[in-house]
Amino acid sequence: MRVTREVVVTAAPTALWALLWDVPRMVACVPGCTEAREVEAQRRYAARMRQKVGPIALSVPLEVDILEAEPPRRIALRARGRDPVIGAEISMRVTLVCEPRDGGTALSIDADGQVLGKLGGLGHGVIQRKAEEAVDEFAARIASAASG
Amino acid sequence: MSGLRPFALHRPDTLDEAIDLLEQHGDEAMIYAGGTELLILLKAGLVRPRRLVDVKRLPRLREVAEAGDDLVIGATVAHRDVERSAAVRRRCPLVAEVARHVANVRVRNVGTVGGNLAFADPHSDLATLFLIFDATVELRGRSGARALALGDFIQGPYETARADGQILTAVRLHAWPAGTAGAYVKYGVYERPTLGVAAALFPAASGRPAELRLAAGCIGPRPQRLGRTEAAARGLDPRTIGERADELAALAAVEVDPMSDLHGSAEYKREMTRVFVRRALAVAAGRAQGAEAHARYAHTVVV
Repeated sequence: MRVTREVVVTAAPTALWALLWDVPRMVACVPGCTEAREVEAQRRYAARMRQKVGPIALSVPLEVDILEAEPPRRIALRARGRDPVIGAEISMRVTLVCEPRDGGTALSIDADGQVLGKLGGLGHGVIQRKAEEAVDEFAARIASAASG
Repeated sequence: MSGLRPFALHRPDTLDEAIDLLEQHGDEAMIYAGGTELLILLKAGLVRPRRLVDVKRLPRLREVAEAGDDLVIGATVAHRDVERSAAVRRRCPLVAEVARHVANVRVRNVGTVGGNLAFADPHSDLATLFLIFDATVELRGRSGARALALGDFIQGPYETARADGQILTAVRLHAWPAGTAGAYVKYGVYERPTLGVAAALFPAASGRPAELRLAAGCIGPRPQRLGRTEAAARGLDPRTIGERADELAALAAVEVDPMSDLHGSAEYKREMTRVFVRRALAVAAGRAQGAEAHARYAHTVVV
Protein backbone atom coordinates (compact mmCIF):
# COMPACT_ATOMS: atom_id res chain seq x y z
CA MET A 1 0.00 0.00 0.00
CA ARG A 2 1.15 3.48 -0.66
CA VAL A 3 0.05 6.73 0.96
CA THR A 4 1.20 10.18 -0.10
CA ARG A 5 0.29 13.42 1.65
CA GLU A 6 1.50 16.99 1.85
CA VAL A 7 1.27 19.27 4.86
CA VAL A 8 2.34 22.90 5.17
CA VAL A 9 3.82 24.00 8.49
CA THR A 10 4.78 27.48 9.68
CA ALA A 11 8.28 26.43 10.81
CA ALA A 12 11.20 27.12 8.46
CA PRO A 13 12.84 24.10 6.76
CA THR A 14 15.80 24.10 9.17
CA ALA A 15 13.48 24.09 12.20
CA LEU A 16 11.37 21.28 10.72
CA TRP A 17 14.56 19.40 9.90
CA ALA A 18 15.64 19.61 13.53
CA LEU A 19 12.24 18.31 14.66
CA LEU A 20 12.49 15.30 12.33
CA TRP A 21 15.69 14.21 14.11
CA ASP A 22 14.39 14.87 17.62
CA VAL A 23 13.53 11.34 18.77
CA PRO A 24 11.19 12.06 21.71
CA ARG A 25 9.24 14.66 19.72
CA MET A 26 8.97 12.31 16.75
CA VAL A 27 7.66 9.52 18.98
CA ALA A 28 4.85 11.88 19.92
CA CYS A 29 4.15 12.61 16.23
CA VAL A 30 4.04 9.04 14.91
CA PRO A 31 0.67 7.46 15.73
CA GLY A 32 1.06 4.20 17.60
CA CYS A 33 4.78 4.73 18.23
CA THR A 34 5.28 4.09 21.94
CA GLU A 35 9.06 4.20 22.22
CA ALA A 36 12.10 4.86 20.06
CA ARG A 37 15.82 5.16 20.61
CA GLU A 38 18.85 6.04 18.62
CA VAL A 39 21.12 3.10 17.79
CA GLU A 40 23.54 5.04 15.59
CA ALA A 41 23.00 8.79 15.16
CA GLN A 42 21.26 9.65 11.88
CA ARG A 43 21.70 6.09 10.64
CA ARG A 44 19.83 3.52 12.73
CA TYR A 45 16.98 3.69 15.22
CA ALA A 46 14.85 1.16 17.06
CA ALA A 47 11.18 1.82 17.71
CA ARG A 48 7.99 0.09 18.75
CA MET A 49 4.72 0.56 16.94
CA ARG A 50 1.34 -0.40 18.33
CA GLN A 51 -1.79 -0.44 16.19
CA LYS A 52 -5.28 -1.83 16.56
CA VAL A 53 -7.50 -3.14 13.80
CA GLY A 54 -10.83 -3.77 15.51
CA PRO A 55 -10.22 -6.48 18.10
CA ILE A 56 -6.74 -7.28 16.78
CA ALA A 57 -3.87 -5.53 18.54
CA LEU A 58 -0.46 -5.35 16.95
CA SER A 59 2.84 -4.51 18.63
CA VAL A 60 5.83 -4.45 16.31
CA PRO A 61 9.47 -3.78 17.21
CA LEU A 62 10.83 -1.84 14.24
CA GLU A 63 14.35 -1.44 12.95
CA VAL A 64 14.63 1.91 11.25
CA ASP A 65 17.45 2.48 8.76
CA ILE A 66 18.07 5.90 7.31
CA LEU A 67 18.78 5.32 3.63
CA GLU A 68 19.35 8.91 2.58
CA ALA A 69 19.60 12.18 4.47
CA GLU A 70 20.09 15.40 2.54
CA PRO A 71 19.78 18.30 5.01
CA PRO A 72 17.52 20.17 5.29
CA ARG A 73 15.54 18.78 2.40
CA ARG A 74 15.07 15.06 2.20
CA ILE A 75 15.08 11.89 4.32
CA ALA A 76 14.44 8.38 3.07
CA LEU A 77 14.12 5.59 5.59
CA ARG A 78 13.19 1.97 5.76
CA ALA A 79 11.42 0.43 8.75
CA ARG A 80 11.01 -3.30 9.22
CA GLY A 81 9.71 -5.52 11.95
CA ARG A 82 7.67 -8.51 12.96
CA ASP A 83 5.00 -8.97 15.60
CA PRO A 84 6.06 -12.28 17.18
CA VAL A 85 2.65 -12.89 18.76
CA ILE A 86 0.43 -12.77 15.68
CA GLY A 87 3.18 -13.30 13.14
CA ALA A 88 2.62 -10.13 11.15
CA GLU A 89 5.52 -8.68 9.24
CA ILE A 90 5.64 -5.03 8.42
CA SER A 91 8.02 -3.26 6.11
CA MET A 92 7.81 0.26 4.84
CA ARG A 93 9.82 2.86 3.06
CA VAL A 94 9.11 6.45 3.94
CA THR A 95 10.40 9.50 2.11
CA LEU A 96 9.99 12.96 3.62
CA VAL A 97 10.75 16.04 1.53
CA CYS A 98 10.84 19.59 2.97
CA GLU A 99 10.45 22.54 0.58
CA PRO A 100 10.30 26.20 1.63
CA ARG A 101 6.84 27.64 1.03
CA ASP A 102 5.32 31.00 1.99
CA GLY A 103 7.75 31.54 4.84
CA GLY A 104 7.09 28.06 6.19
CA THR A 105 7.73 24.57 4.88
CA ALA A 106 5.78 22.12 2.76
CA LEU A 107 6.45 18.60 3.98
CA SER A 108 5.60 15.86 1.53
CA ILE A 109 5.21 12.37 2.90
CA ASP A 110 5.44 9.25 0.76
CA ALA A 111 4.94 6.01 2.67
CA ASP A 112 5.05 2.73 0.80
CA GLY A 113 4.58 -0.39 2.87
CA GLN A 114 3.66 -4.02 3.06
CA VAL A 115 1.95 -6.14 5.68
CA LEU A 116 2.57 -9.87 5.45
CA GLY A 117 1.16 -12.77 7.43
CA LYS A 118 -2.28 -13.59 8.73
CA LEU A 119 -3.13 -9.97 9.26
CA GLY A 120 -3.00 -9.59 5.49
CA GLY A 121 -6.09 -11.82 5.39
CA LEU A 122 -8.15 -8.93 6.72
CA GLY A 123 -7.82 -7.50 3.23
CA HIS A 124 -5.79 -4.90 1.47
CA GLY A 125 -8.56 -2.31 1.81
CA VAL A 126 -8.63 -2.50 5.59
CA ILE A 127 -4.87 -2.12 5.85
CA GLN A 128 -4.72 0.66 3.27
CA ARG A 129 -7.33 2.54 5.26
CA LYS A 130 -5.36 2.11 8.49
CA ALA A 131 -2.22 3.34 6.75
CA GLU A 132 -4.02 6.40 5.43
CA GLU A 133 -5.41 7.20 8.87
CA ALA A 134 -1.93 6.85 10.38
CA VAL A 135 -0.29 9.11 7.79
CA ASP A 136 -3.05 11.71 8.12
CA GLU A 137 -2.62 11.72 11.88
CA PHE A 138 1.17 11.98 11.51
CA ALA A 139 0.76 14.97 9.17
CA ALA A 140 -1.62 16.66 11.62
CA ARG A 141 0.70 16.11 14.60
CA ILE A 142 3.78 17.30 12.69
CA ALA A 143 1.89 20.41 11.61
CA SER A 144 0.98 21.13 15.19
CA ALA A 145 4.46 20.36 16.56
CA ALA A 146 6.19 22.48 13.91
CA SER A 147 3.81 25.39 14.10
CA GLY A 148 3.90 26.00 17.82
CA MET B 1 -0.01 -22.47 14.32
CA SER B 2 -3.37 -23.95 15.17
CA GLY B 3 -5.43 -24.90 18.17
CA LEU B 4 -6.78 -22.70 20.88
CA ARG B 5 -4.81 -21.23 23.72
CA PRO B 6 -6.25 -21.69 27.18
CA PHE B 7 -8.74 -19.16 28.45
CA ALA B 8 -11.21 -18.87 31.31
CA LEU B 9 -14.86 -18.99 30.35
CA HIS B 10 -17.22 -16.84 32.40
CA ARG B 11 -20.93 -17.49 32.09
CA PRO B 12 -22.74 -14.70 33.91
CA ASP B 13 -26.50 -14.92 34.46
CA THR B 14 -27.20 -11.20 34.56
CA LEU B 15 -26.22 -8.24 32.43
CA ASP B 16 -24.75 -6.39 35.41
CA GLU B 17 -22.55 -9.36 36.24
CA ALA B 18 -21.33 -9.49 32.61
CA ILE B 19 -20.55 -5.76 32.60
CA ASP B 20 -18.67 -6.10 35.88
CA LEU B 21 -16.55 -8.89 34.42
CA LEU B 22 -15.69 -6.81 31.37
CA GLU B 23 -14.84 -3.80 33.50
CA GLN B 24 -12.77 -5.88 35.87
CA HIS B 25 -10.70 -7.67 33.23
CA GLY B 26 -10.39 -4.93 30.60
CA ASP B 27 -8.21 -5.94 27.65
CA GLU B 28 -7.93 -9.51 28.90
CA ALA B 29 -11.59 -10.26 28.27
CA MET B 30 -13.65 -10.56 25.11
CA ILE B 31 -17.37 -11.00 24.68
CA TYR B 32 -18.47 -14.38 23.41
CA ALA B 33 -21.91 -14.71 21.81
CA GLY B 34 -22.31 -17.15 18.90
CA GLY B 35 -18.56 -17.35 18.46
CA THR B 36 -18.67 -17.69 14.68
CA GLU B 37 -16.39 -14.70 14.10
CA LEU B 38 -14.47 -14.89 17.38
CA LEU B 39 -13.45 -18.52 16.89
CA ILE B 40 -11.87 -17.70 13.52
CA LEU B 41 -9.71 -15.05 15.17
CA LEU B 42 -8.90 -17.28 18.15
CA LYS B 43 -7.86 -20.20 15.98
CA ALA B 44 -5.72 -17.97 13.79
CA GLY B 45 -4.04 -16.62 16.92
CA LEU B 46 -4.95 -13.06 15.96
CA VAL B 47 -6.56 -12.43 19.34
CA ARG B 48 -5.48 -13.98 22.62
CA PRO B 49 -8.00 -13.17 25.32
CA ARG B 50 -7.36 -14.73 28.70
CA ARG B 51 -11.07 -14.63 29.42
CA LEU B 52 -14.25 -14.99 27.44
CA VAL B 53 -17.49 -13.59 28.82
CA ASP B 54 -20.31 -15.70 27.43
CA VAL B 55 -23.40 -13.48 27.06
CA LYS B 56 -25.75 -16.20 25.80
CA ARG B 57 -27.30 -16.77 29.22
CA LEU B 58 -28.36 -13.17 29.67
CA PRO B 59 -32.13 -13.45 29.54
CA ARG B 60 -33.37 -10.31 27.78
CA LEU B 61 -30.71 -10.49 25.08
CA ARG B 62 -32.29 -13.63 23.68
CA GLU B 63 -35.70 -12.06 23.05
CA VAL B 64 -37.43 -10.48 20.11
CA ALA B 65 -39.96 -7.88 21.23
CA GLU B 66 -42.44 -5.57 19.59
CA ALA B 67 -42.50 -2.06 21.02
CA GLY B 68 -44.99 0.27 19.38
CA ASP B 69 -43.94 0.51 15.74
CA ASP B 70 -40.53 -0.91 16.54
CA LEU B 71 -39.08 -4.36 16.48
CA VAL B 72 -36.40 -4.96 19.09
CA ILE B 73 -34.09 -7.89 18.35
CA GLY B 74 -31.96 -8.99 21.30
CA ALA B 75 -28.23 -9.21 20.66
CA THR B 76 -27.93 -12.97 21.14
CA VAL B 77 -30.87 -13.91 18.93
CA ALA B 78 -29.44 -16.29 16.31
CA HIS B 79 -30.06 -15.70 12.61
CA ARG B 80 -32.15 -18.89 12.48
CA ASP B 81 -34.39 -17.53 15.25
CA VAL B 82 -34.79 -14.24 13.39
CA GLU B 83 -35.88 -16.22 10.35
CA ARG B 84 -38.50 -18.13 12.36
CA SER B 85 -39.70 -15.39 14.67
CA ALA B 86 -43.38 -14.59 14.28
CA ALA B 87 -42.74 -11.03 15.46
CA VAL B 88 -40.03 -10.47 12.84
CA ARG B 89 -42.24 -11.93 10.10
CA ARG B 90 -45.10 -9.67 11.17
CA ARG B 91 -43.14 -6.44 11.61
CA CYS B 92 -40.17 -6.74 9.25
CA PRO B 93 -40.75 -9.71 6.92
CA LEU B 94 -37.79 -8.76 4.71
CA VAL B 95 -35.48 -9.18 7.71
CA ALA B 96 -36.75 -12.73 8.31
CA GLU B 97 -36.19 -13.55 4.64
CA VAL B 98 -32.67 -12.15 4.60
CA ALA B 99 -31.84 -14.06 7.81
CA ARG B 100 -32.52 -17.24 5.84
CA HIS B 101 -29.66 -16.34 3.49
CA VAL B 102 -26.97 -15.16 5.92
CA ALA B 103 -23.71 -17.14 5.52
CA ASN B 104 -24.34 -20.89 5.85
CA VAL B 105 -26.57 -23.10 7.96
CA ARG B 106 -23.95 -23.65 10.70
CA VAL B 107 -23.43 -19.92 11.10
CA ARG B 108 -27.17 -19.23 11.04
CA ASN B 109 -27.80 -21.71 13.84
CA VAL B 110 -25.34 -20.18 16.28
CA GLY B 111 -24.28 -16.79 14.87
CA THR B 112 -26.10 -13.90 16.52
CA VAL B 113 -27.47 -10.60 15.32
CA GLY B 114 -25.55 -8.65 17.96
CA GLY B 115 -22.33 -10.50 17.25
CA ASN B 116 -22.66 -9.75 13.55
CA LEU B 117 -23.11 -6.03 14.17
CA ALA B 118 -20.51 -5.74 16.93
CA PHE B 119 -17.84 -7.56 14.92
CA ALA B 120 -18.45 -5.05 12.10
CA ASP B 121 -17.06 -7.21 9.34
CA PRO B 122 -17.51 -5.00 6.29
CA HIS B 123 -19.14 -7.94 4.47
CA SER B 124 -22.29 -8.09 6.62
CA ASP B 125 -25.77 -8.50 5.20
CA LEU B 126 -27.57 -7.34 8.32
CA ALA B 127 -25.73 -4.06 8.76
CA THR B 128 -26.67 -2.97 5.23
CA LEU B 129 -30.25 -4.16 5.52
CA PHE B 130 -30.84 -2.62 8.95
CA LEU B 131 -29.81 0.82 7.67
CA ILE B 132 -33.03 1.08 5.68
CA PHE B 133 -34.97 0.33 8.87
CA ASP B 134 -33.32 3.36 10.52
CA ALA B 135 -31.88 0.94 13.06
CA THR B 136 -30.46 1.98 16.40
CA VAL B 137 -28.27 -0.21 18.57
CA GLU B 138 -28.59 -0.30 22.33
CA LEU B 139 -25.44 -0.43 24.44
CA ARG B 140 -25.17 -1.05 28.16
CA GLY B 141 -22.21 -0.33 30.36
CA ARG B 142 -21.54 0.52 33.97
CA SER B 143 -22.45 4.13 33.27
CA GLY B 144 -25.87 3.14 31.95
CA ALA B 145 -27.61 2.56 28.65
CA ARG B 146 -27.29 4.48 25.44
CA ALA B 147 -28.78 4.18 21.98
CA LEU B 148 -26.87 4.98 18.85
CA ALA B 149 -27.88 5.07 15.18
CA LEU B 150 -26.44 1.99 13.46
CA GLY B 151 -24.73 4.24 10.90
CA ASP B 152 -22.84 5.96 13.73
CA PHE B 153 -22.15 2.74 15.59
CA ILE B 154 -20.23 1.12 12.72
CA GLN B 155 -17.15 3.26 12.23
CA GLY B 156 -15.09 1.19 9.85
CA PRO B 157 -13.91 -2.34 9.16
CA TYR B 158 -14.14 -4.27 12.47
CA GLU B 159 -14.48 -0.98 14.34
CA THR B 160 -17.48 0.30 16.24
CA ALA B 161 -18.37 2.95 18.78
CA ARG B 162 -18.73 0.29 21.48
CA ALA B 163 -16.43 1.12 24.34
CA ASP B 164 -14.59 -1.51 26.37
CA GLY B 165 -16.89 -2.62 29.13
CA GLN B 166 -20.01 -2.04 27.04
CA ILE B 167 -22.29 -4.75 25.73
CA LEU B 168 -24.48 -4.41 22.67
CA THR B 169 -27.82 -5.56 24.05
CA ALA B 170 -30.27 -5.12 21.18
CA VAL B 171 -30.95 -3.58 17.80
CA ARG B 172 -34.14 -1.62 17.30
CA LEU B 173 -35.73 -1.51 13.84
CA HIS B 174 -38.47 0.90 12.84
CA ALA B 175 -41.07 -1.16 11.03
CA TRP B 176 -42.21 0.19 7.67
CA PRO B 177 -45.71 1.54 7.11
CA ALA B 178 -48.22 -0.63 5.26
CA GLY B 179 -47.73 -0.60 1.51
CA THR B 180 -43.94 -0.29 1.65
CA ALA B 181 -42.11 -2.57 -0.79
CA GLY B 182 -38.56 -3.68 -0.05
CA ALA B 183 -35.84 -5.78 -1.60
CA TYR B 184 -32.39 -7.00 -0.67
CA VAL B 185 -30.05 -8.19 -3.38
CA LYS B 186 -26.65 -9.65 -2.66
CA TYR B 187 -23.99 -10.79 -5.00
CA GLY B 188 -20.75 -12.69 -4.51
CA VAL B 189 -18.77 -15.76 -5.40
CA TYR B 190 -17.16 -16.17 -1.97
CA GLU B 191 -18.85 -17.13 1.28
CA ARG B 192 -19.15 -13.52 2.34
CA PRO B 193 -21.01 -11.24 -0.05
CA THR B 194 -19.13 -8.94 -2.41
CA LEU B 195 -22.01 -6.49 -2.51
CA GLY B 196 -25.37 -6.06 -0.79
CA VAL B 197 -28.04 -3.57 -1.82
CA ALA B 198 -31.12 -2.85 0.30
CA ALA B 199 -33.99 -0.78 -1.08
CA ALA B 200 -37.42 0.21 0.18
CA LEU B 201 -40.16 2.26 -1.47
CA PHE B 202 -42.39 4.05 1.00
CA PRO B 203 -45.79 5.08 -0.36
CA ALA B 204 -46.89 8.71 -0.17
CA ALA B 205 -48.88 9.37 3.00
CA SER B 206 -50.85 12.36 4.25
CA GLY B 207 -48.54 15.33 3.82
CA ARG B 208 -45.50 13.16 3.06
CA PRO B 209 -44.20 12.39 -0.41
CA ALA B 210 -43.23 8.91 -1.51
CA GLU B 211 -39.75 8.02 -0.36
CA LEU B 212 -36.91 5.74 -1.44
CA ARG B 213 -34.55 4.27 1.11
CA LEU B 214 -31.39 2.81 -0.30
CA ALA B 215 -28.27 1.33 1.27
CA ALA B 216 -25.21 -0.40 -0.12
CA GLY B 217 -22.78 -2.52 1.85
CA CYS B 218 -19.83 -4.91 1.72
CA ILE B 219 -18.05 -2.79 -0.89
CA GLY B 220 -16.51 -0.15 1.36
CA PRO B 221 -15.24 0.32 4.89
CA ARG B 222 -18.81 0.34 6.21
CA PRO B 223 -22.34 0.12 4.84
CA GLN B 224 -23.85 3.41 3.80
CA ARG B 225 -27.25 4.96 3.14
CA LEU B 226 -27.22 6.60 -0.27
CA GLY B 227 -28.78 9.93 0.66
CA ARG B 228 -28.22 11.74 -2.63
CA THR B 229 -29.81 8.96 -4.64
CA GLU B 230 -32.68 8.85 -2.14
CA ALA B 231 -33.16 12.61 -2.54
CA ALA B 232 -33.27 12.28 -6.34
CA ALA B 233 -36.07 9.73 -5.99
CA ARG B 234 -38.14 11.67 -3.47
CA GLY B 235 -41.79 11.91 -4.46
CA LEU B 236 -41.47 9.44 -7.33
CA ASP B 237 -44.06 6.67 -7.50
CA PRO B 238 -42.88 3.05 -7.89
CA ARG B 239 -43.63 2.97 -11.61
CA THR B 240 -41.41 6.02 -12.22
CA ILE B 241 -38.67 4.58 -10.01
CA GLY B 242 -38.79 1.40 -12.08
CA GLU B 243 -38.53 3.44 -15.28
CA ARG B 244 -35.70 5.59 -13.96
CA ALA B 245 -33.81 2.76 -12.27
CA ASP B 246 -30.87 3.15 -14.67
CA GLU B 247 -30.42 6.81 -13.88
CA LEU B 248 -30.81 6.33 -10.11
CA ALA B 249 -28.38 3.41 -10.16
CA ALA B 250 -25.79 5.56 -11.95
CA LEU B 251 -26.16 8.14 -9.17
CA ALA B 252 -25.73 5.45 -6.52
CA ALA B 253 -22.54 4.22 -8.22
CA VAL B 254 -21.07 7.71 -7.90
CA GLU B 255 -22.16 8.02 -4.28
CA VAL B 256 -20.64 4.82 -2.86
CA ASP B 257 -17.18 4.70 -1.31
CA PRO B 258 -15.77 1.36 -2.48
CA MET B 259 -12.39 -0.05 -1.52
CA SER B 260 -10.33 -2.68 -3.28
CA ASP B 261 -9.89 -6.05 -1.62
CA LEU B 262 -9.88 -9.74 -2.51
CA HIS B 263 -13.47 -9.40 -3.76
CA GLY B 264 -12.42 -6.95 -6.46
CA SER B 265 -11.14 -3.51 -7.25
CA ALA B 266 -12.91 -0.35 -6.19
CA GLU B 267 -13.78 0.36 -9.85
CA TYR B 268 -15.33 -3.08 -10.23
CA LYS B 269 -17.41 -2.61 -7.08
CA ARG B 270 -18.63 0.76 -8.27
CA GLU B 271 -19.76 -0.80 -11.52
CA MET B 272 -21.44 -3.70 -9.69
CA THR B 273 -23.20 -1.17 -7.47
CA ARG B 274 -24.72 0.37 -10.59
CA VAL B 275 -25.84 -3.03 -11.87
CA PHE B 276 -27.28 -4.30 -8.59
CA VAL B 277 -28.93 -1.06 -7.46
CA ARG B 278 -30.75 -1.07 -10.80
CA ARG B 279 -31.87 -4.64 -10.18
CA ALA B 280 -32.88 -4.01 -6.57
CA LEU B 281 -34.92 -0.97 -7.60
CA ALA B 282 -36.62 -3.00 -10.34
CA VAL B 283 -37.53 -5.74 -7.83
CA ALA B 284 -38.85 -3.30 -5.21
CA ALA B 285 -40.75 -1.22 -7.80
CA GLY B 286 -42.26 -4.40 -9.22
CA ARG B 287 -43.38 -5.54 -5.75
CA ALA B 288 -44.89 -2.13 -5.03
CA GLN B 289 -47.03 -2.64 -8.12
CA GLY B 290 -48.00 -6.17 -7.16
CA ALA B 291 -45.55 -8.05 -9.38
CA GLU B 292 -43.13 -10.51 -7.79
CA ALA B 293 -39.67 -10.64 -9.33
CA HIS B 294 -38.66 -13.82 -11.04
CA ALA B 295 -35.38 -12.61 -12.50
CA ARG B 296 -32.39 -14.75 -11.58
CA TYR B 297 -28.80 -13.64 -11.78
CA ALA B 298 -25.63 -15.68 -11.42
CA HIS B 299 -24.11 -15.78 -7.88
CA THR B 300 -26.92 -13.56 -6.66
CA VAL B 301 -29.54 -13.89 -3.94
CA VAL B 302 -32.69 -11.79 -4.43
CA VAL B 303 -34.74 -11.45 -1.25
